[in-house]
This record gives sequence, C-alpha cells and structure tokens, in this order.
Amino acid sequence: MNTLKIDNVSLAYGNGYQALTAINLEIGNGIFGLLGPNGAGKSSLMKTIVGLQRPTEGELHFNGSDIVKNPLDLQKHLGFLPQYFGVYPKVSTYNLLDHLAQLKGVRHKQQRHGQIINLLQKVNLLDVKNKEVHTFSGGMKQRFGVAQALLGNPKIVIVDEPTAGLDPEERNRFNTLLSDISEDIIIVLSTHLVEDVRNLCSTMAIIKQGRIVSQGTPNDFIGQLNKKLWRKPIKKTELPHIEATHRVISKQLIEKVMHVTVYADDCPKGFHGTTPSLEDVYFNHL
Amino acid sequence: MGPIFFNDIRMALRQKAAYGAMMVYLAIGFWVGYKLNISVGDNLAVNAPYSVGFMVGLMSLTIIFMATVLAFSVLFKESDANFDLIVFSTPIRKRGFALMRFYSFFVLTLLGFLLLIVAYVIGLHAQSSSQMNVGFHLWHFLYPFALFGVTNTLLVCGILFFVAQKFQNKLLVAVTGLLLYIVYMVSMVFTNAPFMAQSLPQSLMAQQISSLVDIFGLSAYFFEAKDLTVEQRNLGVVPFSNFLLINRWGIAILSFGMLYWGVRAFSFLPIYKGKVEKKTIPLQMEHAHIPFMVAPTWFHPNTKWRAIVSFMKIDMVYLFKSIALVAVSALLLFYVGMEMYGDIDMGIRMPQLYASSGLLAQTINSNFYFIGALVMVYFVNDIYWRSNASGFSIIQDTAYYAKEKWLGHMGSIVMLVGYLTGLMIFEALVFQLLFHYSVVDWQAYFGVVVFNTFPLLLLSFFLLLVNSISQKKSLALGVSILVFLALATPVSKSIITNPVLRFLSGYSGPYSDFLGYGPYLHSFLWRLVFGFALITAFFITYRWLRSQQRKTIKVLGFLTCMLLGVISGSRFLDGYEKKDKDSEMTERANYEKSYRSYQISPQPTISDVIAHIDLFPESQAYHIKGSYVIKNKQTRTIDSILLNVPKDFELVSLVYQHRNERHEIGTHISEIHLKEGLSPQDSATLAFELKYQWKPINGHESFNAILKNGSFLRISRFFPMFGYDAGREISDVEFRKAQGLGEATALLPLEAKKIKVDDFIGLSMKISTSDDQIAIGTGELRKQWNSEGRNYFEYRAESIPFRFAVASATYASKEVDHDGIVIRVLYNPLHHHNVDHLIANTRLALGYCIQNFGPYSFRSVTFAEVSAFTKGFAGTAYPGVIFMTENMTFNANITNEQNQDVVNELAGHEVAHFWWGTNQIDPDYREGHAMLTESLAMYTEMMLYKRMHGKAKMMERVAMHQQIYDAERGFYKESSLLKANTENLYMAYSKGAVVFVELSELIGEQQLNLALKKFLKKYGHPDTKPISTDLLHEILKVSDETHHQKILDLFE
Repeated sequence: MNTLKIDNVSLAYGNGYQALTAINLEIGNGIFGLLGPNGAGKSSLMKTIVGLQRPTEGELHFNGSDIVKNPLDLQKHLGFLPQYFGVYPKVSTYNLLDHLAQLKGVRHKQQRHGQIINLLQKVNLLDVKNKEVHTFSGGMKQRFGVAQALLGNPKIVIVDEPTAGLDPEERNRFNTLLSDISEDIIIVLSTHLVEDVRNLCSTMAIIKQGRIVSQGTPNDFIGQLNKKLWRKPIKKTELPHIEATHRVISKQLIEKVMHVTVYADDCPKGFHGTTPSLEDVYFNHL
Repeated sequence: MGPIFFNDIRMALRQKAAYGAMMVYLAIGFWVGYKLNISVGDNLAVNAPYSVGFMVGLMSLTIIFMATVLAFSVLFKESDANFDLIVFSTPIRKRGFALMRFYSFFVLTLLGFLLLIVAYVIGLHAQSSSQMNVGFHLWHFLYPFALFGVTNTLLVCGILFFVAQKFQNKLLVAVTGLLLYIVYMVSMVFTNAPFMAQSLPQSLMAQQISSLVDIFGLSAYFFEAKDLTVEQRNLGVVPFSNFLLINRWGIAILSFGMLYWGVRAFSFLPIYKGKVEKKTIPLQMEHAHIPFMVAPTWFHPNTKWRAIVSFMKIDMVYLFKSIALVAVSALLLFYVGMEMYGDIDMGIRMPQLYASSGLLAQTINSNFYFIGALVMVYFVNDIYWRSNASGFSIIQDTAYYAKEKWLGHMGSIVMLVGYLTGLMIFEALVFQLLFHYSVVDWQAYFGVVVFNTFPLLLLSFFLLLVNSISQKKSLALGVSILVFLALATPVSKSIITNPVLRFLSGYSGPYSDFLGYGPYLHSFLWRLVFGFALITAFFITYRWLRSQQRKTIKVLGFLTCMLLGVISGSRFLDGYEKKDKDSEMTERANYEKSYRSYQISPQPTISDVIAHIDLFPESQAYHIKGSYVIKNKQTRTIDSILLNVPKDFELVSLVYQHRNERHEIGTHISEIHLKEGLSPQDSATLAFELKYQWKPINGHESFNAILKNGSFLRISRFFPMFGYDAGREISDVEFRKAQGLGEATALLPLEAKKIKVDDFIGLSMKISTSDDQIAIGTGELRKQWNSEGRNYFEYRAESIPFRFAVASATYASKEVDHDGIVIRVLYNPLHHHNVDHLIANTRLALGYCIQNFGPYSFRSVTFAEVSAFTKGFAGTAYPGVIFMTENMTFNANITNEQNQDVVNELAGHEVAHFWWGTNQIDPDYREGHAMLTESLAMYTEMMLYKRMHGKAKMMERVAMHQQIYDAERGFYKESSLLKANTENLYMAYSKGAVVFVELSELIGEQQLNLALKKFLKKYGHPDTKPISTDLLHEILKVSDETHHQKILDLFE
C-alpha cells in the first residue's frame, strides 16, 4: 500500500501571493480526485507534490519518506502529467519517450522499447512514433503526455487536468486506462470536470482559494446533500429576489425556462426536492 | 500612424533591459574615447577629423549588434504576443503600419548609436594622455555620425527589416546580423586602413573595388583620404566626394530598396510553414484492451550514466538539426578560411607562405577563440534554457535523473566545442591539400586544442554556471555576454591584472617549426588546470548551496580543487614580474632626472670586447662572462662614468679596473666616481658576468629570445653600456610636463656640426651551446670544438660597430664557394626549399656589390635561420652574418609567386648591408642616417631584382613601394629623404627605393654606382662618419649639371 501524506503544506510565491494554505491530505492507492475551479491552487499543489516547487511550510511524505528533503524518494516512483507542457523540437516521439524512460531509470533497451511500444499502442500514437511531437495536434500531444507519465514502473501518478483537449472518445479511453492501473498505485487526478471525478475517483477533495474546503468519498459528499437541495422553474426576473433570500447552488436554462436549485434544510415554498449530484456538491462548496 | 511609432518608443523605454543597454552603450563609448583611441599616425591628434571619422566608422560595427537585438523585440512584437491576428482585424493599413514599424526600429537603433558616440566624445575629451587638437568642433563629430552612423543604421535596419518581414524568423535575423558582421570584417581587410596598410597594402584596383562595394563605407573613406596630408587630416573632414559619395549614395539607395521590399513582404498573418503538418490520428479502439506493461527501473551508476548520455543525445539532435549551427559553421569556416588565405597569400608586399600546419594553426589560434567564445555564449544559453523555453522541463525535471542534465549539457558542450575545433582543423587540412603542403604537424594542431578547445570548454562551463544561477534566460544571456567581454576578450587585460585569473582568454602567440609553441604550451596548460580547479570549486560551492547538504565528499572535492588551484597557479606564475606601466614610467622619468647630465659629460668608448657566452636553450637561459677595453676618446678627462645594465639580467659581477683603481659595482644603473680620472687616450677595463633567464609568464623578448631551438639574441643590446641612454626617455608630452622633464632628446639635426669619434670595436666571442645545436656569432668562425657534451664556437671580427648578435639551433647546412668567399646557409631541415635559390642570389649580390662598390670585408657569408619567435625583421645583417626569420625567406613559397621573388629581394638587401651598414661605413646617428643604410640597400635590392627578373618586374616592385609611400605619407609630416630616420622608416625603405631607382634612370646605373663607390671610399670607416648630404654631393659630382635640380627635387 502506497501512501502520500500532505501535512499542513503552504506555499507563497515570491510576489507574496499565497497559493496554498495549510493543506492536509492523506492519499492511498486508487484514484484521488482534486476538484476545484480555475485558479484554486490545484496545479500549485500538484507541482509542490512532484517537487517542482518547494513548500514554504509543511511536510510531504511518500511511503514514509520526507520528499521535501529527499525528492528523489518520490521521483523514483513518479509519473507526472502537467496541465501545460511543451516538448523539444526536432525530436521524434519514440526518442523523446526513450529519453524520459532513461531518466526514469529503465535500464534495458529492450524493456524500454517494449514499454514504449506498448504505451504508444495504448495511446494510439504508434503510427507516428517517428514524427516530432511538436508537430502534433493538441489531443495527440496530450496522449503523448499520458504515455510519458506511465513510463517505467510508477507507484504514484499525478495528472493535472489530463483530459483537457481530449475529445469524448479519447477522454473515455484515458479514464479507462487510469482505472486499469489504479489498483496498486496512487493516482492523483486534478480536474475541474466533476464527471471525471465521479466516474473515476474513490476519494476526493475540493480545493478553493488554496485551501482544501472538503474531502471524502464522492458518495459521502452526495449523501451530505440528501434532502437539502430544492429546485423550481422561475422567471428570470425572479432570480435577484431568490438569490437574495436563498443559497443558490445552480441555475440551469432548460427549454428557455430557468431552473434554480437552492440549498436549505427544509423545502422552501414553491420548490420541490431534487436528487443531489456531484456537481451540486461542487457548486455547494464554491 | 504616429501612435504606432510613439507606442513602440514608449514600450521600448518601459523595459528595464533598455536602460541596461543604454548604460552599456554609454560605458563602451566612454571607454573607447578615454582609452581605446587607435593611433592612426604619430602626428595626428586623436580628435582630428580624420581620426574621429575613423573611430566612428569602426564603432558603427556596433550598429549590427544594436539593430539585431532591437529587431527581436520591435519587429516580432505582435507575433510574440499572439497579438498579430487582433491587429489584423483592425482597420490599420498594412503598409503604413510597416513603415511606422521600420521608422521606430530605425530611430531606436540610431538613438543607441548616438548614445555611444556622445559617450565617446565625452571620453575623448576627458582623457589627457593623447595628442589633442585645441577646441571643439561639432561638425567634426556630426559629419562622421551622418556618414557612418545614419547611413549604416539605415542599411542594417533595412536589411534586418526585410529579412524579418520576408521570413518571420528570429533565427534568420540573428544569422543575418552575424553575416553582416562577417561582411564588415571582410571589407576591413581591403580598406587599406592605417593599421593594415603597413603590412598588407592592397593594389589600387582592389582598393577601388572595395571602395565601391564595401557596404559600411570605410574602404571608400580611406580611399578618399589617401592623398590627404597630415595637416589636412588634422584640420578638415575627409571630403564627401568621388568614391565616398558614390558609396554612401549607393548604400542609401540599397537601404531604401530593402525597406521597400520589406514593406511589401510585411504581413500580419504568419507564414505557412510546410514542415509543420498537424494532423490528428484517429483512435483505434482495438489497442485499448492491450494490457499495460510496466518496465522495471534500476537506480545505479550505470543507469545514471545512460541518463547523462541520453541528455547529450537529445542536445546533439537539437543542435545538429538546427539551422543556427549550420549557419555558424558556414560563417566560421568562411571567416577563418579567409584569414587562412590571407596568411598564406600575405598580400602584394610579402611572399606567399607555405600552407604549413604551424601557420594555419596560428591562424586558427588568432581567430577561432573569439568567435568560438561568442558562439558558445549563444549555444550554452540555448542548450540550458531549451527545456524551459519549450515547456518540457515541467516533465523532465520530475524524473529521477533530471539533475543529471548538467552533466549531459557538459557532455554536449564538449561535443560542440570538439566539433567546432574539428571543423577548424579540417579546414586547415583542406588548405594544406589545396596549397600542396602535405606535411601534417599534429603538434601544431594539438596546440589548437590546448589554446582553443580547453579554454572554450572552461568558458562554456562557467557560462553554464552563470545560466543556472540566473532566473531568466534573457538575464543569463546578458550576464554571459558581459562575462565573455570581460573575461574572454582582450578587455580582460584592462580589468584583471593577475594573469592567472585571465584563464578564460585564448592565446595567439607564435608557432615555430623549430620548437613548436615552446614553453608557452606547458605554461598555458598550468593556467588551464588552475581554471579547471577554480570553476570546479565554483560548481561544488553552487551545488552545495543549492542542496543545503554538507556532504564530506563535497568538502573534500572543494579542498582538492583549492589545492590544485594553488599548485597550478603558482606553477603558472613562476617568476612572474608584475609590469606596472605607471611605476615603469616613473622609473624612466627618475632615470632621466638623475642622469641626463651625463649627456654632456665625456664617457669612455669601448674599443675591444671579449665575451664568453654560454647558451642553455633547454632552460631558456644564458650566461655572459666578458670584458671590455675602454678608452677615453674625448678631449677631456673622464671623472665619473654612468654604467647601465638591463634590469632583467642577474648581475653576478661588474668590475671597473684602471691601473690600481678598482670599483666593484652591484647595481644595474650606477655612477662610478673615479678617484683617478681617465685621461684622454688612456684605457681601462670592465669585467662583467651576467645571467639571464626568461619565464613564459612574462613572455619572451623578440630580440632576446633564448629558446629550446632557433634562438636569436641581439646580444650587444644587453651588454653593459656607458653614458646616458636617451632611449629610456618618455615621449609623452603631457607626462613629461607633469614630471618637469623639459624637452626630450631630439635626433641630431642633419645640419649639426660633425664630430668624429671612432667607436668601432674588435670582437672576440666564444659561444657554447647544447650538444645538438650550432651557435652563430658575429664575424668569422675561427674555431669550433666539443667539450663535456657542449658545442663551442669562436667568432672574431675586427673593426665593427658595437653591434653583434648570437643564434643557436639544430641546423642543416649547405656551403659553397664563391670566388674565395664561403657562402654557408644554416637552416631548419624542414625548410630546405629555398636554400639553393638563396645561394644563387647571394652569388649574384656579392658579384654585383664587389664589382660596383668595392671588396667584401670577410672570407665568408653565413645565413642563419631563426625561429618565428623573433619578430620585427625579415632579415638582419651583422658583420659576415645574416639572420633570417623562418617564415619570411626559408618557408616562403616562391614557386607560387609570379610577381615576387622574396629570396632575391632579401638576399640582395641584406648582402648590400655588408657595404651599407654593417661595417664598411659608420653613418653619424643624426637625421638622414637611415638613408645611408636602408635606402642604399633598397637600391641594391632593386638592381639585383632587375638582374634576376628584368626591368619590368623591378618596376612593379618600385610601383608597390610608391604605393606604400603614398599610403604612409598622409600620417607623417612630409620630410626630405635626406632626413630619413628610424622614426619614419617607410621613407628610407619605400621612398628610398623609388628615389634611387629613379635616380639610376636619370643619371644611369653606372654613374650612380660610381658615386656610391666614391662615397664609400671617401667616407668609409675609419676615415669619417658620413651624413646623407655627403652622399648627395657625391651623386651631384658624377651627374650632369642639367640634372642637379631634378636630383635635389627627388630627394625632397
């Protein structure tokens, strides 16, 4: 069983911006979802975990080892797919993967070759293995990113917005891949797509303005909202009044009619109960 | 469209880097004005309009750099910010936008240059050490600013603007900038610039062509100025006419043409790049169910090494696929190749040289390091920041072996520097092949590696450190450029006084087939070890600080580096003598103050010299044990003597003995106050023992070059001398004023009263050298023997001036007899090509001189080749012996020269000195003395050229001398040939050759030779010390009166 323990981690940038504040998480094998809006601090937390940024406070432990002091203890077992990344120009897909495999300590050429071909097949880039990555479309590049994150024998894979730029089919395929490999390793999935978290994650946390505002299993989250969400169709002109008098979770325009969902312990007048979803959980925390 | 221009200016001025650049321009401009005024002639003020134009023209080189840097930020502004499509969607007119963009680019560049020039003007007027014209004339600065600054800015901006718009590629803009720089350097070779004209005069046609095609206008400037006198250059600007006018207008038209094409090519839309083909591969679902395969990882030195190699491979793929390296390689090959050709060809004055490995290695050493260092500044920055700039670092840096990229980069730097060095050596080998010189001297090319590759690696590693410390790529590049300028260029000498700390600079010293690079190679290696130790210590410290781990191995590594640094540094600095210009000047001033009174007090004359000289070539040392017989040849009793011994020599003993009066002297400069004065015609003795050794850290003296092989010493210069030495006086007028020194000693005027003192000597010199070498002295070889593993030689000469020299080397020799005179040639066994031709020409010269001027004084003529470590002459004649430097005669490729026979020239010239200079006449040391030696030797040289190659060929040589004379006269006060002296040797040589050949045409060669013969008979030693007018009178005597005025005019 692998464990990643994030203990009271804070991160402030040189310009004084507080990106993370007192983050505490304990993550075991399986897929852990980190959900949050843009700018919430997801990427900052990912970069801090993988050692690209040093926390200004707090500790990070992977399998008991302090990875702030000894980042190599994590990097030995790490696969990382950042949200944004570039590639070396002039270098082919295969050669770039081979380079990264060597940096990850895959010793034997045959093993490297076997794994690279396997991954290229899985991400469907085998036919373009000799093409330069920088000529790829956004989706292909993202698939390359997935392949490189899985090189070697990772015990922890951190993926930051991995499905951005992928079409639904690719996204589905990627999610399947993550599910396949998640049994014995930690996967930290950072995303703002609630659907991905719902489909994949056994545990999750919601991050907002650099703080973890809630954590648990998706079902726990949903359960917390049971019989607390109420919904009704309204006229647009009513919205300001409802916003002033209720805690609005979401608004939806369905067939030109606005439907509003509010949070309340008891059913407000004119509303009816609705089954909570993870989206509602997410919106409830924002 | 005005807002576009003002917005560009505003945005440029908002950048911090702009202020940094301004400060740099101001600093460079001030420094150039204050310190780096290249002297263009002894009689030209540094603020003379001509000099200012020359400097501004040279500085216009910086426009290329300024414009290229600005092009990156100004011309690519929209595309860099992905703002171009938004601009495209506005109603702005394309051509108007493009024109305004060019205008702001041009104005910003010109402002940068203006700053440089303003600072230069301030620096120029702040300094006080150079000759200055009184007053400030704005026009003298505005004119060259317009001539070079405005026009060249227009040109460079026009070209870069066109390239930027046509190709929308920053790299291509950078390459174009580099190409412009190369064009500039090429044009400089053909400019007939003052500092080039003396060594490599170009033909008139070459100058004219260059004047038209030199896009920077310097050739046209020099060509237009070539007929101006010193006064004209001092007082007025070079006229804007003829070639200069055509050139500048032509360039302006070309610039506007580039602007026109640039504007036409301008587009807001990116150019379609066919190579980048983005297509999406559709998903193939059948692969989705293949099981995921893991690959075992292993963290071990072996995998670490593989990771390092992988980093290297990735770097190499990137480098060798990039157009930048292709462009750099092509430009480097072109630039160094051009220099190689120039060094082989040597222009129209010098002989073509054999394309030997040594020659070509020297060319590489002189040119490669600077450009290589500049190239590495760019590539180290590019390699280091590539993963960051491409966005790949975010992935790569999380890998286990990410930190090994340092070593990977180091490896790729080694490969890159190795590649560039290999390219240079390969090019040299191609030149050897093309010029049919098949002997490859790998020792010479090994020197290329030591003097270029290793310091380039040190510099690159240091730059790698600079890049890794810096937070931004642009900052790193800026700091790297400063490091390059401060530590890897000649500027380092001004900044760092201790030579061991200049370990990032290159070496461009001599190479000789006699001894390779000599002791400099080992010395340089010690400096490299020091640099390596220091940079490694920096690396360790940096890693230590970053990791914040106190590992014992790092401490040990650091201490080892320090120890290595101390050992290598002390080995390199062994015997170092710091040369402080200020204290040396003060010392010379004090000498003058203390001893100038001896100028008018009688001093003894040396009449006999016995010297035993032991040469130790292996240790670069020699010992002299000698004695003088000195005599009072004045009319007054000598009461005190001033004795000078060069301070570089160890004074073992120095004893003056006159009857019972004995003085033991212990200082290098000393006054001996005699108890019993030395009466007129009375004699005394001076016995002395001196030791000399030089260390590579201090460099060798060209004329005191005791070397492992090929030594040459003008040794009489280092023997004890009597009386005041006016040669130590300082010529700087301001310094003299500040020190209260009054007027410096002037050369005796031609009209001064003649006083005859016979200062010729009898010389006996015994020279010993190592077992494998032959020592050559002065006079005739009387005896030679071997004792205790050393070779001994005894030379004697009667009645010669106090001027003798020594050489020693491992020689091959050839001897022939010419009518009872032995002609002996001693040469490096590799340099046998011209020996027979030299002998043939010596026969010719001896025959001509004996027939026309009188008998030869010795029974032998010895030619001895000396190493290229001795510079300053092609050949030099001493009584009975002629020394020649290896590259000028013995290693010259005369078979390839259609219009020049340097062996004939030098043999004729130097043999002629046996009549005109070495011992038959003793010209009085006053104005005109050089005419009686060098001009007459030039005349004889020309007559022998005529004998060997015909009159037409001779006249070609005369025309060349006329050209040299014309090029030089504009920088000196015009004077008569009758006053030619060592200050203006071009007069004695070039004007002398022209005048005497013309004279021989006017009055006939026979008549002129008759005059010379009579002159020699009448004024030859020991009868009198002749002056130049004595010869003129003899010429007038033998010539028809109708020619007299013409003859007098010729000499004037």
